[in-house]
Amino acid sequence: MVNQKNKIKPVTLVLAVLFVFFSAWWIATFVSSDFRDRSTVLLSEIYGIVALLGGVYGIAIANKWGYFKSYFGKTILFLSFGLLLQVFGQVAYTYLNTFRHVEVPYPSYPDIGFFGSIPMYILASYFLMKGLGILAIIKKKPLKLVVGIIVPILVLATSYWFFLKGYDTTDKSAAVIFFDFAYPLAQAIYVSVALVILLSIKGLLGGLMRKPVLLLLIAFVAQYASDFNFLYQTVHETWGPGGYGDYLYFIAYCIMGISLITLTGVLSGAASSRPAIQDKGDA
Amino acid sequence: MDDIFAQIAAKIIEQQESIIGPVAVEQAKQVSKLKVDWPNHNVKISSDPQGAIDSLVAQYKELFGQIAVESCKEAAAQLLNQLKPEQFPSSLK
Repeated sequence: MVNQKNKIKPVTLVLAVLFVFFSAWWIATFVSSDFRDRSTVLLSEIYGIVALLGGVYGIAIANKWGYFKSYFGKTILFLSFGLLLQVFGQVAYTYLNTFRHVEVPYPSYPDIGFFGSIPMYILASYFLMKGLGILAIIKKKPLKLVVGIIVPILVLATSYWFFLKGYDTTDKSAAVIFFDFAYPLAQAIYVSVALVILLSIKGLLGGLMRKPVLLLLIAFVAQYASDFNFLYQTVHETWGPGGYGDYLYFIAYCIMGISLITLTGVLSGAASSRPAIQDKGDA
Repeated sequence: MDDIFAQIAAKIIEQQESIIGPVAVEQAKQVSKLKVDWPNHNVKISSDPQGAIDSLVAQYKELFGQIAVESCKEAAAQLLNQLKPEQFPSSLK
């Protein structure tokens, strides 16, 4: 039993190798300017393979959680769909930018993936909130209710202040205006839900699920930080392929992947702890 | 009376199943005092009904900690009204 528990899963190994590989590549771009010039675009085009791995793995393990029949099943599936949509966005962006020579394809086909991932993350965080019974916790504790109201307002206000205050619609198409508003405001929703969960479960969440749930919540925050930074760098025209912004996305995908792997680990952990619980209950 | 405890157990399993899916049923099947025939949503308690419920709640607590205890209490709330306070399983007090 112990050996089985300590055995490293192939998917963990693959994720670890990818993490080391892409991190080393990214660091190398700072060491050699020649290497940087030749490789940053390629780096920005292919690190999404981590999101692909996470998305496919999530769908593969969701059956153990009952697919759409349970809140955790839904959380895993929508998170996986979000990751796969990010992959679609990256592939479409690469195609338009590299092969069709469209300098900034926005708004365009990549936004089906990039923007489409946001409702998936919102649904994933919503079902996680339902599964953990956060609404019942908030209703019982007035302070947590206040936090539950203040956090989303703060996040939305920050997004508005950073990206939309004094927004000039001159010479912009309706689609550009829509996405300029919709990206930061919609992204604020899933991170708000994640932060409310994080602040509500203090002292309540324990057991084998504590680690994977915390990792999931950190993954939402990391994804939001990446999206926030992307918008910030885009507005300030400092975004470039293979820069720290891409590395932030890479880290967010890795954390999402780790959280999905850790969730599967819970199942074997629960299996190995069964006799102990039975003894405790029967005592 | 045992029937109410069996119903409480079924309600708790149902609630946990809506949260974690088939894992909830697998966990319930590990409780030796419960006989779970989940395809028919039938739960029987072999002995010590309060102890059986406590073991079931402990099983889920091992997964989620106190959050699981709270959701078990919520699931059982209506049925607990049919019991006298001294009959309550200690985990649901």
